[in-house]
Formats: sequence, C-alpha cells, structure tokens
Amino acid sequence: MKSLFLLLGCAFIFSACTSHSTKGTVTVYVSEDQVFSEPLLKDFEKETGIRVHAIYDTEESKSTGVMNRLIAEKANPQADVYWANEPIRAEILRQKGILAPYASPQAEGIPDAFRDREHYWTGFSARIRVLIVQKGLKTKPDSILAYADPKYKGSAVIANPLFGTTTSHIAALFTFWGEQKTKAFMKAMKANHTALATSNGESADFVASGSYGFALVDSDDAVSRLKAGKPVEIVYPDQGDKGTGVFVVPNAVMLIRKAPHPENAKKLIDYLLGKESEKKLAFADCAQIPLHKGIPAPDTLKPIRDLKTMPVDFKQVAQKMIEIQPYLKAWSQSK
Amino acid sequence: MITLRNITLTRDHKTVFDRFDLHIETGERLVIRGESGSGKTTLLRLIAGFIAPGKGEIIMERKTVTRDSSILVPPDRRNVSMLFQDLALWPHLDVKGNIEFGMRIRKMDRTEREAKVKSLLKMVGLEQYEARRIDTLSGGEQQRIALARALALSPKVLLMDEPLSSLDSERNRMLRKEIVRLQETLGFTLVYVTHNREEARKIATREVEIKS
Amino acid sequence: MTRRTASWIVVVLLAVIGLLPVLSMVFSTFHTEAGFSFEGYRQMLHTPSLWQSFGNSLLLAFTVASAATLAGTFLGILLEKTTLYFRKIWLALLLIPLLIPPYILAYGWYMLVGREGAWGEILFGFWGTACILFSVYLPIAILITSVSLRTIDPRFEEAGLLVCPWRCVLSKITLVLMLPSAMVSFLLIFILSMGEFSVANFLRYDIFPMESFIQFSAFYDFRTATLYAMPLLAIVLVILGIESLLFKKGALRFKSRTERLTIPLHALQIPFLVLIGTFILIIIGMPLYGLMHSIDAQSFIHALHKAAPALGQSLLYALLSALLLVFFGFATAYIIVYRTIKGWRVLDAMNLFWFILPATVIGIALILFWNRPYTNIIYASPLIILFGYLVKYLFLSSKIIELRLSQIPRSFMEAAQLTGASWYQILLYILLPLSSGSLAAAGMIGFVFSLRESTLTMLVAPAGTATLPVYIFTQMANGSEATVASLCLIMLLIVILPLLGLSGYTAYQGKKYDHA
Repeated sequence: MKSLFLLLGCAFIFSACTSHSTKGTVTVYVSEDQVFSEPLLKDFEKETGIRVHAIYDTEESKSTGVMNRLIAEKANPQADVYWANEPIRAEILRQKGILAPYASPQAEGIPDAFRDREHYWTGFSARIRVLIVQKGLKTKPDSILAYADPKYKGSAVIANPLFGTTTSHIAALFTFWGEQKTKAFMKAMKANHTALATSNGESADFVASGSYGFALVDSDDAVSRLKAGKPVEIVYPDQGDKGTGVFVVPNAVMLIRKAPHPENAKKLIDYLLGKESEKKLAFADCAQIPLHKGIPAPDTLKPIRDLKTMPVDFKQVAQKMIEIQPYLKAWSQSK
Repeated sequence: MITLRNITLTRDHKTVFDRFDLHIETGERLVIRGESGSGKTTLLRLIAGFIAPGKGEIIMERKTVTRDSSILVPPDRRNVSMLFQDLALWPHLDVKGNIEFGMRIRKMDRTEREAKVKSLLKMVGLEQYEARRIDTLSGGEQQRIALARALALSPKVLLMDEPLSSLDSERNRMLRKEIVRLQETLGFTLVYVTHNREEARKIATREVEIKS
Repeated sequence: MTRRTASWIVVVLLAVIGLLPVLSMVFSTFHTEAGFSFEGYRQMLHTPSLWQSFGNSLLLAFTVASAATLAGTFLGILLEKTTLYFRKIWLALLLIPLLIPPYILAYGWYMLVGREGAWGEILFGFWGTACILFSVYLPIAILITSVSLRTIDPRFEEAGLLVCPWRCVLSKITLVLMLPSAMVSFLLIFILSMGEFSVANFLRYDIFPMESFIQFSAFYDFRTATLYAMPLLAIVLVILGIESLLFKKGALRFKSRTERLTIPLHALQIPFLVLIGTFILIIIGMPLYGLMHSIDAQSFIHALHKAAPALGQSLLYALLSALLLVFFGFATAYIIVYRTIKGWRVLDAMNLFWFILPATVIGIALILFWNRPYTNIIYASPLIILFGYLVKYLFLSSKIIELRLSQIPRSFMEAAQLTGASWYQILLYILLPLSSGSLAAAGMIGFVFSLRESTLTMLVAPAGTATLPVYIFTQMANGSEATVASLCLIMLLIVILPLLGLSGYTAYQGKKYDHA
C-alpha cells in the first residue's frame, strides 16, 4: 500500500517537473521522420525559448501512429500542433472535427494548391514521388506504368498502399485517371509480381541493396540513399507530354482544436512555414523542395518549376482515399 | 475441556467424519491412532481452528469455538499450539527468530523475550543455538527447536502431528521421554497423533483409535 | 483492515487502471447504430480473409510453441542436469533474443540475408517468422524446464537408476514428471506468439493481429479494431480451461529439495559442445552479426550521445514498472493462491486477457479512458506508461510469484497463525521473505519486458518522453544504418547487464532457501 502512494507521489513530482518552463511549452505530434524534423524543432526551442514536447512517429505501417492518438484524444486534446508528412490525412482529421483553422501570415507566398482554402492546414516543404532505380538496370523505367510492364516482372517493389504517402499517391491516381483505369493498373501491378514493402524507406533499401530493380518512393527516401553512396539513381517519372507528371506531396502543419497552448502553437506553425525552415529542410538530407518562391533548392533534386507535376485537389484525393481503403486492403492482401 | 460434538466433514466427495464425538480432559495425554488418510491431521486442524467442519461444534473451556462451517474463535485466540509433521520451521529465520516470532507478534518486550528464548532452549537442551540457521540443524535438533517454538507462548493445549515419524528409533525414544517430561512439568493438555502403536502406548494416558 | 478488504482494494485499483478502459472498448463492439447487437461479430465470422489469417496465426503459434518447448526441454536438461562445460555461458547467450525487441532480430536477419535468393525467400514468410519467434521464446522454455528440474524429487530418479541407465530414466521418469511444466511452457509461448506481430509484419507473413492493427492504422476504426481482437478471448478461455485442469490434478505443485542429480556426459561432452555452440552461432550469432557489422566506434559514440535521454527514461520507467509489477503481482498471486475473495478466478482470467490483448487495443483503451481534464495528472505524465506496462505484463509477474507461493507449505503460515500473527504480519514476515527470490525474478522479467516494449509506449507516452525502443523505431525511418545498429547494440547491453545481476542474486537466493 505504502509503495503505491509513494509511486503516486513520484508521478506528481514527475509531472510537476516536466511541465514548467518560463516561456511555456508547445506539444507537437510529428509524422515527418524524426531524423529530419527533430533538428528544426530544436532550433525553434533555441530561438524562442519555448520548450517543445514532441511525439514522433514513423509514417508507415510499423506503427499505428499519432493519427490514432489525435483521434482518440479528441475530447481532451494533448497536442497543439500536428506536423503531418502529407495533407491527405489532415483532411481526415478536419472531417473528424479535430482541427482548428489558422491563417498563418507566413503562409503568404505558398501556392494555393498546397493550402487549404479554409486554413485548416497549410503545406510547406514538399517531397515528390520519384522512382529510385538500381544503377545497373539496363533499361530504366521512366514512368510508374513500369510497374505494370511485363518487362519488369518481379523486379519492382512498392510500399504497402494501405499506409503513408503511397495511399495518397494511389488515391490521387484514382482522381486523375478515374476508377477504371487505376484499378486496371493496380491489377496489372499485382499480376507483375510487384513486392510489397512495409514503408517507402524499406522499398528504397530493397533497391539500394540490389534486391529489386526500382521502387516508387518519396524523394527524401531516394536522396538519403543516394547521399549514403548507394548504387542508385533518381528518375522523375512520367515527364513526357502524355505523362501524368510527378506527384508532389507537401508537408502539412495544422492547429489542433482546443489546443492547450494555442499561442505557442501559432508561433510554431509560423516558424515551420517560414522561409528559413523551408531552406533548412531543403539542405538537410531529406532535400525537401521549398514552396516559397526565391529559396535556393538543393542540387540533388531538380527544382519544382523544371518538372511536370500532377495537378491534384487534395480535398478530393482525401475523399477518394477514404473510399478506396477497403479496396486497397483487399488488394494488398491478395496473392 | 475440549469437546467435539457431532462432527461431520466431507472432502472431495468423501466423508472423513460422520457424526464424530470426542472429549479431551484437561492435562491428559491423549493419543489418537489411525491409518494414514483416516483424518488424524484433519482432526488436529479442526481443533486448532484452521478449518471448520460442515456440521457439528467444538467447545473449548465451555465456549463454542467452532459451529458448523464457521470459526467463531480464530486459532490464535484458542491458546493452542501445534507441532507440525514437517515441523514448518521458517527457513528465512534463525533459531531465535523462529522461537521468538510469536512473542514479537504479541509485542513482548525484548529482555523478557530473550530470557524466554534462553529458557526454552535450555529446556530442550540446545543452549547456544540461538543464531544457528535452520538448515544447519540435524533432524533431531530441528525437532527440538520446533518443540521449543510450540511452547513459546505457554499454550494450554499442544497438538502434535506425528512429530517423531522421521527420527530413528533411538532419537525417537529420547524425544518421546522428553515430551512426557515436559508435559508433566508444564501441565498442558497434549493431543498426539500417530500411527505407531508403541509410540502411542509409551506416551498416552489415554488412547483413541479412529477409523476411516 | 481485513484481508478481504485489502484484496478488494487491489482488485478495484486494477479494475480502474486497466479493466474498465478495456471493458468499455469491448462493449463498443456490441454497439451499432441500432443499439446492442451481435452484427459486428456476425460479419466478422463471415469474412473469409479473417479465417485465413486466424488459421495462419494458430499454425504459427502452434509451430513456434511446439518447437520451442521441445528444444527448450532438451536444452534445459542439457544445461541444468548434465556436466556440460560452460553451462552458465551457454544459458546467458541463449537468453539474448528474449531480451531485445523481436523486430530488431528480424532486422538483423534481413541485413544478413537480404530479400532475394533462396534464403531471402525463406526468411520472408512463414519459416522466417517461425524461426525468429522460436529463437525469441526458446529461453522461456529453457527457464521453465530448469525450474521444474530443480523441483523434481531426486529419489524418483535414484529409484529408476537402480534398474536402468540415465537414458531410460530421463525418458521414463524425468520427462514424464516434467510434462505439466512443459505444458505450461507450451501455453505461454503459444500466447506470446499469438500476440506478437512486429516480426510477422516485417517479414510479410499474414497473421491475425495484423487485422486489428490495420483497422487502427489505415482505417482509424477503433471499434472494428477491438472487434478483431476478440477472437483472442476464445483462446484465453481455452487456455484457462487447460490450466485449471492442470492445477486440479495438483500437477504444478512441486516440492523443492536441495540435492540434485547430475548426468555425467563422458564421451558425449564434445559432440554436445559442438552442437550447442553451432546452434547458438546460428540462431543468435548470425542475426547479431548482421546487425553489428556496420557499427564503427564513432557512430556508436554518436548514437550513445543521441540516445542518452531516451536511455535514461527507458531505465527509469522500466524500473518503476518493475516495482509496480512486483507489488501487484504479489498481491494478485496472493489473492489467487489463497483465494481470499470469491472472484479470484476472474482476476486470473483478467490477467491473461490483458496479456493476450494486442498492445494497440490496450493503448487506445487507456487513452479513451484516462485522457480527461481531471485525470491529466495521470494521462499527461509517465504514469500512463506505467499503467500500460502494468496491465500488459501483470500476468507474467503474477504467475511467477504464484508458482512460488503455492510451494510454501501451509504449515508455515499456520504455525504463525497460532501465535496470533495477523494476515498481513504473516504476509510481511513469512510469505514475503520466503518468496523474495520469485519477487526478484518477477521484477527482472517485468523490467526486461517493460524495457523492450514499443507499441504501447508509442501510443500513450506523453509528449516529450521517449523510450529507447521507440527511439530506435523512429530512427529506423531514414536514420543511418550504423546509428540504428549502434542503438540496437546499446539496447542489448542495457538489458544484459541487469540480467547478470539477477542470475547472481537468484544463485544466492537458491542456496539460501533451496530446502524450503
């Protein structure tokens, strides 16, 4: 009995110790890889004196992630800010009434396509979906259609489309190509013995280690393998006249409804959306593409203006994604 | 002094006692004989108050201590002590710790406790054994320490559950004599359970045999 | 306070901490728009893919549990009863896979074998998953075997040796006497393999817990996720049934004695040394090599520096969790062994149910129940992590202590009772000291399991806290190979050190009370 009270006492001291700071604190849930996001949050701490309590997540199927947490915590939110690695799931949170609108002054200059009209989320520092290709491969794929091409039978891998940016990408294809064409593509991909990885990072590793010829991944996954000196190269898919163009996935930052520290939350959002942050993310290993104009981009990736991009409406994509989830589950589990 | 009346007890669908009666006089040495499985140990545990029968009552000094399936007076209020067949000497305590345990529980003060432990050890012939660990004692020594522990709170009734069964015949004879001597000096009532006829004859002032 | 009141306080505390949250989740599975209904269950039973993965899970758990129990019995006898050289070292090495998060082992194999080729084909799928889980849970079978060997009365074996050699004594007497404990080991490993999914997920083998997981991570559907965890309840009931049968026969109550017989190996010494050495090299040496060969000193120091805060927190939480597990483990074991209240069976079932429930379900249940403004002191503090660990691992600590308590002769307590000692004095002065070895063991097991937990921690840990397994997890995404491998090595080191402490302590305790 005594030891229990002692323990409760300890917990009190614990929580008392962890929560005080002169400039206050801000709690942020982060889906962007910790390797890339943590340095930026540390900088924010240093510059503002506001303590950042973060929960990191891995974006892929290995965890149930902070999304579930945000949903489960809806009645009594613990988080102030959610830094998502793509805007589609932000839409889901908005629909569930978990977000509050915030029009950050720093959002000025970010193209409208990457912002929610009602300011529930704002995009920044984008990644593009690229093909990471094994250096030795004789004929290089130049389109995601290569997944369905018998020439590449058994030599391609893709992250499980139930999770992460891969879901968004497939959903975007559904809105762009329409249901019939996309489903045919998916079917052909399966028939072509495409392997499933648990994450984009893992598919990139599979290609880097020579297990597979190519994979559709996020640009940061590809760039980090390239910088680690792996025998891979990056191909920007579907750049021809008839191609769909690359799918651009911005990070998205959003304010949580009934956030415990709304003022600091807004400061953090402003900070993340600022040009300085975009620059830092651009020159970090993730080589993310700035959305503000006039920020120099890293030379590992082509600047976005030199690329043909796939036009998408993220709201529509989000809607589509919810619709096709059961289909994707069946697809990923089928043989 | 102790009366068991109309005791009926079943266990695992088997009747151990069926309307069993027993009367024990103050100061006598009653030996209860019986085959193994006849319920000898159960009888002692009934008297000690660890268990209650389904039916019947136990009266000690004109007070009903057990009625049917309820224990009205708990074991420690019955002024009863017991020497267990496996002795039940606590292995984590030394000789002194074992003997003085009950005195500590009853908050007897230290000097009194120590004097009592000394006199008990002297009584069983094991002076200087206070600090010994239980597992360093021989079988006969353990028996004596268990006896000393059982007598520590000066019980009016001492229950013994085949305490000598594990000793060779020489030691058996010696301890038997000592138990009789102690009983005669201290005057407690002894209820002694055994299956050994000779042992029974040597100790008893009265013998009872129970059959299953 | 009476014994009953105290027992009820423990039960109520546990109910508030973990049972109510889980029950409210379970009730939600009966809830549809039309009110109470079994519709969800009906639909579940009519989903063929669920049957498929449930079958896969059963097959996996059965394979792993049988193989680990068989091998564990063999190795347990070899290490506990024979004159094999370096027995302690072999045992310590064999324990390693149990101590680290299983996905790290899978990662190590992948680093070694890759995805392609014949070996990659085997690794990714049923056999790879089964082999890794086998190596993870083998130590449990070995430990259970060696405990049960210590409690077999050597006279049974001596009597056998008078008429036939060791070979036949082992098979005709020793093994037969060990059967109940082998059953316990089988059941425990079965449950553990049923619930473990990080390895199967990594190696693409489709198992049942994945179904519940997908409902969380892709659909954010808490109700269906919980619904898909319910078939595990059926397994709990079956296991409880088997367990009560075993206990009914009193098969698990041992008498422990000091003397033990050892089997001289003579000419078999060398072959067995080669055998066990090769075995360890394959199931432990190879994945660890796969993991470690990319580490260099610089990246190790760098990783140590980065992981230091997470490391400190991990150790602190695991330590507090171990204390909590020992306290409640002893309390529940006491209630169960001495049946101090009528509902002791429910308590037993509850512990097992928590143990088998996916960590994600427990995590979400804890969030939904505890995340309220007036309970922020718990939810927004590390206390919620401790609650999670307590609920998840109470079964283990309780069972370990239960086994010990049931070995303490009844007369030890009755002797104290006659002197007027109250129930808590008996508990404090007799039972606690006599079960101290098992308390230490329960504490260590609690410590190790809490330390390696990641799924639950990730869900409920308050912002700003991070434990090492979670940190490793998040670093695996795009962190450098050398860093991740170094982190895994650190993880390995911090679980091995306390374990050495435990083996020293139990050896000492064993000497002290072995005759009890």
